[in-house]
Amino acid sequence: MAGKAKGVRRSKPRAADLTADNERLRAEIAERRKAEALRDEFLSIAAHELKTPLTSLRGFAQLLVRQLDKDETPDPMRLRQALSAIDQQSSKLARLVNQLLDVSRIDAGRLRLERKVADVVGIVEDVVATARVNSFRHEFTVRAPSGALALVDPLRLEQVFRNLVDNAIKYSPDGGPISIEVDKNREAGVVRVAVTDRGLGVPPEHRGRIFDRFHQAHPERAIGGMGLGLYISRQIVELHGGRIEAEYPDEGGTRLVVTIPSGAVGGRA
Amino acid sequence: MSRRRVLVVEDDETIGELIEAALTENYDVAVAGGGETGLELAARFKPHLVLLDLRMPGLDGRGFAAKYRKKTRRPAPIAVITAVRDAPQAAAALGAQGFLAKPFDLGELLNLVARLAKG
Repeated sequence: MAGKAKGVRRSKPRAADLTADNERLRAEIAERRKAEALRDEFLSIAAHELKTPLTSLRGFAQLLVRQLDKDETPDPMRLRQALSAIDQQSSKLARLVNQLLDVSRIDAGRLRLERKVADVVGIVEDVVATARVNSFRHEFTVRAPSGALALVDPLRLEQVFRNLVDNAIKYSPDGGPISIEVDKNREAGVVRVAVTDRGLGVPPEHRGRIFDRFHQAHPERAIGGMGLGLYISRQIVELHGGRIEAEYPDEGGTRLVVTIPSGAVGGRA
Repeated sequence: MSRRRVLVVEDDETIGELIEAALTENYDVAVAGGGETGLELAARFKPHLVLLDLRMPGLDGRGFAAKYRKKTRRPAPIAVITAVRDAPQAAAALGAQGFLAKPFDLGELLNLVARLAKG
């Protein structure tokens, strides 16, 4: 109804209330700007990361086409080098795109697990076998029981372990030992996997944020990556009802520990 | 004329291999995986052109360019090869003589090198 309501007195807003409102709005604006700056920085890093494998894919493909156009038979060694590069870089690109899709799934609450009974030790061993092929500069050791069955999504868990091992490699740029331990605790009904490196570690000021989205522990070193791996890993582990924690050994490096419930099958393996 | 020498300073191993494979038919190519190694190689290899990535661990492209120019009597032209958003601006800020934005076309790379490695 239009017009002044009879008997209702409008009190003037108090100066103190206005000041509080202004402060709240200023804080909101500052928060929003911070989020926008973070998003812009992320987009810039993501574009950079995606362009790097694309450059090799495009370049090696064009190199082969140029040779064929000149009616030259590519030297078998060169042909192998080009095709291997195309293969590896397309895998790298696929991993980056999958990370972006995972973040989108997490945001929408659509990251789902397909659980089945799987041997966590087998998953870890597969991940380490691939890492050994890809890095000759690191010395991998695995300490694990003969098996540790758990009700998990094996592909998603493999993604977590691969990410932890890749991080250990990436943040140990001078090589060095990387140890992976698997323990099963039947009483507690959990399986624990710890990945330890002796690399750069995490500076104390970054330690509280390493599982945050877009966060990079060593932004100044341009090590690469989008700052999504540990964020996605934490989501996957928590969907399993588990937890992921970081420890910083006195002798340096980083130790990341994943603890997941073994589910109904915990006692059998 | 003897073959011209091109130094590639690029931390992505595969892109370094790509550029080497593309240029090796007509140029002598040396590849450094970072700024520090790039400086050591530059002193020995005495390139006619430096192809330089910007974002690298350790000594980055900017740091390399500053040190290289300071310690070299007649520094070679530098062409920036980068995935940063504004490649022309980044190249200008560095005082580079040329640039290529990743992902680049192989023809563009060959033209750039032919233009700048003339001496």
